[in-house]
Amino acid sequence: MSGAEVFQNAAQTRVVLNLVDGQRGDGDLYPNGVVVNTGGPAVASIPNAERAALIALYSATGGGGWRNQNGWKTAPTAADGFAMPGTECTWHGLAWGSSGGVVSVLLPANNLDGEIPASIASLSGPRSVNLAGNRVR
Amino acid sequence: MPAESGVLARLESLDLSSNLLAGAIPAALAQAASLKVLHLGDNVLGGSLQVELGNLAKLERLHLHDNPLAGALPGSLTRLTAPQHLSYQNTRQCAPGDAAFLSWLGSVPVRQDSGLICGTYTNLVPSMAHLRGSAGTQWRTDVAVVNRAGVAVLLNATYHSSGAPLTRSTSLAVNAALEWRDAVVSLFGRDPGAATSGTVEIVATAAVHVTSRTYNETPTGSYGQYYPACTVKDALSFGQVGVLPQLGKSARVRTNIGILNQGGASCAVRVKLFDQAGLQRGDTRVITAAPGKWRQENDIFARAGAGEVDVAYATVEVDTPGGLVWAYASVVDAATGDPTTVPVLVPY
Repeated sequence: MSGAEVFQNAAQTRVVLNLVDGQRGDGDLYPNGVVVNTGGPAVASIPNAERAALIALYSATGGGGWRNQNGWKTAPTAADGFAMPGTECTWHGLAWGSSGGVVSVLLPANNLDGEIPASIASLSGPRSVNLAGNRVR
Repeated sequence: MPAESGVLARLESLDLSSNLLAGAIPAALAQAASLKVLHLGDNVLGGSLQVELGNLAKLERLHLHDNPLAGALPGSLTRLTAPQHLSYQNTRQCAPGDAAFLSWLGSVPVRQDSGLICGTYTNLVPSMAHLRGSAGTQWRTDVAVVNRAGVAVLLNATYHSSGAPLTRSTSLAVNAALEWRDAVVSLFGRDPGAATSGTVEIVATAAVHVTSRTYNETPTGSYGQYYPACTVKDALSFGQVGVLPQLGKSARVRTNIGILNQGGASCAVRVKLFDQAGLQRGDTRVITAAPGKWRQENDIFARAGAGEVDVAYATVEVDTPGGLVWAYASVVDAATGDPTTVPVLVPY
């Protein structure tokens, strides 16, 4: 079975097409999702290790206190407490390249407080990282 | 900062400024071979920068300012091919004092530095004399040193003239000053009957202030001319155009122009003379000096075939890549012989 998910925030509307079922149950899908941008790209889930690296960054730098954390914990959430796999491209501060990898992590002046976790090395290769004006140690 | 390198390979821009990053900058950063922009300013990063930043050949903007970083900047920075902006003000990092590094530093279009040159501090007194001039003049040079560096310093003073170099060593306490009157005789021990001129190089273990006065001693007093001692920070590098204003050639005054080569190799300097309309007068003069040596062209307007020019200036350009040169003019009143020093002015 296949399905579609629509995620909307102030900046954009994204459609996630789940073309092959098997990894997800039907409960993950919006039964009444409306495709508003039929030209949008299919977005696959990012590798688990990359998702874990992003979650580790959130957790290690006091994500609950971030000034802007739109999208990161938007319901419905997965078992790890963060928004569903496939939504990472809508999380505040992240930008995705056409090949699916994180190309930038831009969280300046966002009240990050803590150490950058070593697992950030799991990101496949961001080209730009901006964490200026925080309390990163 | 995590030292892992996987994330670094494709990184083009990393901005971690204004955070609480502490400790040393990880050496693994040298693997970020795509990096163009690195902002680490305004943190609490310490130690000396051990990263081979020269491996980051594409680096265009490097900001290290406002950190307790100390020690020498990596000499490998000279391998950056297209540096645009370097800032390391409000750190205790020093620039390697070699001519190659200082010339590279001078070529960075935008820079904010710490004002520190590593290691020893060299001051060159451009004009030293103990000789009899025309019309019975007796030329002498006094040299003074003031130590406000906050530490006692050792001074090695070397007189370079036509003979073998003469070196004398002394120390100078915190906040103390000294003055060598007629230094050629009193410090370097030359015969009072000698006729000699040259330069003095004073190498100090911290940044001291060195000045000099060259004057004609007469039975009724003296008159003469102040010369600053120059440091490599004052020098013109390749591609810079220095200006010597308020020159002239007339029945009233004549102009001598001198250069002091502060680099490690022989260096040529192009001197052009201009009138008040901005038109070049006479030929371009090329003055070449060996490393550490001083050369002066007397009455340079006559030598250039510039004719009489009442309101004039000169430009000075270092013609040798990697060269470091300080320049000055001495404008001499034809009636009294009173000389005025014009140190080269560098572009803002």
